[in-house]
Amino acid sequence: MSSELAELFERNPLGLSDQDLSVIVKKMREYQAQFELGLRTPVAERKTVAKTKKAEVDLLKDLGL
Amino acid sequence: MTSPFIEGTNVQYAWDSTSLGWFKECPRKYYYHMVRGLIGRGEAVHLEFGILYHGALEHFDKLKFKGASHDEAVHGAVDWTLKATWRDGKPWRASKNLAAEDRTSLKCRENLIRTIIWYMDKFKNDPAKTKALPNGEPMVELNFKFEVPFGRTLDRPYVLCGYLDRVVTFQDADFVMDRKTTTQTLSSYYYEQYDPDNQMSFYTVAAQVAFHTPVRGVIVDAAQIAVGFSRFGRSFASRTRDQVDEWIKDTGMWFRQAEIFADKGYWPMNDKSCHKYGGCPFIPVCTKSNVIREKFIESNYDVRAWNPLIPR
Repeated sequence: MSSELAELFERNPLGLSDQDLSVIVKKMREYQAQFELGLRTPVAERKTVAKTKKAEVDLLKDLGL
Repeated sequence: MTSPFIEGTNVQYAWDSTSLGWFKECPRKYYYHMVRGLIGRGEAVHLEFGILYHGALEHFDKLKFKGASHDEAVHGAVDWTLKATWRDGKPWRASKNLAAEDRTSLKCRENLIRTIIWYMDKFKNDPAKTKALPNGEPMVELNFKFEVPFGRTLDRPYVLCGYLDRVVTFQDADFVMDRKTTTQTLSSYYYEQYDPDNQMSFYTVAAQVAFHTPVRGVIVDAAQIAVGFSRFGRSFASRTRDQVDEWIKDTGMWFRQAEIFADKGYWPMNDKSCHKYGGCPFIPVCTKSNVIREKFIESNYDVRAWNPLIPR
């Protein structure tokens, strides 16, 4: 998702102007057009949790951590 | 608060399609959901996402009906959704706060907004037009409640109740329109689940009885929510007069069965249903030994009573 769109989603909607709403609608329509053309569309960012591999866990244990 | 159960009993007299569907799937599932009011923690997300999706499109339909342009109605619906998903000074289910491993992470705020905008644009020139009530109001988000001749006692008739998303005219015929959100692919396999189907028959009867509208069945508008896109499809679940009559007759028999289980205070498990309909949320309970189930329920389920008589 574009930073402009992400910033708008972070804001209190009571403070959004008609122009801000137009930007949200326009951006989403651009993504739809990209999707219809078979292009890659932006994915909503999600929290990623670092996974610790078993070998790394064993090493940490060996180090007493 | 009005209870959907006859006073002092577990005999339900006010039925919506959800509670009847639970009972038909599995009496034990019905018991946990309806009698005990339990809900699995992940289920609440799907329910809330669906309510918001319907709310946004209700807004859109009403604005269009009143003569707003397509873009005015889209803006109105987006504005409503943004406000409805702003909770305690922060966005509801912002994607960046959801773990990628979370099975419900597709049901986030950004995907909700994307889905409603894409849906409204997809059906910008929809041949399905909202019908008007006799008072001139649009037939959108219609609450219904009507008596059926299956009452256990004369003083407490049974009622069928619920909501219709929308009633439309499509190619000179009337239909109920029901909107669904899913993470499943919209193949013919997806739509087959609606024919035959309890909910679609229920809604057909409701439109015919409560609103005197001779609908031919239900148009199912489904939205698939996926990573990076939303996709839409439309299907028809038609019902003939004979099919409607049969459904009503069967419903009376289901109610008799529900009374028997309520009187016995025991709702048997239908172990042929557990893995259907996307998998029952109570599988983790039913796979436990009877003696530890209550402890497990306490720590894994919330109480959120489902009452068909409470308006949305």
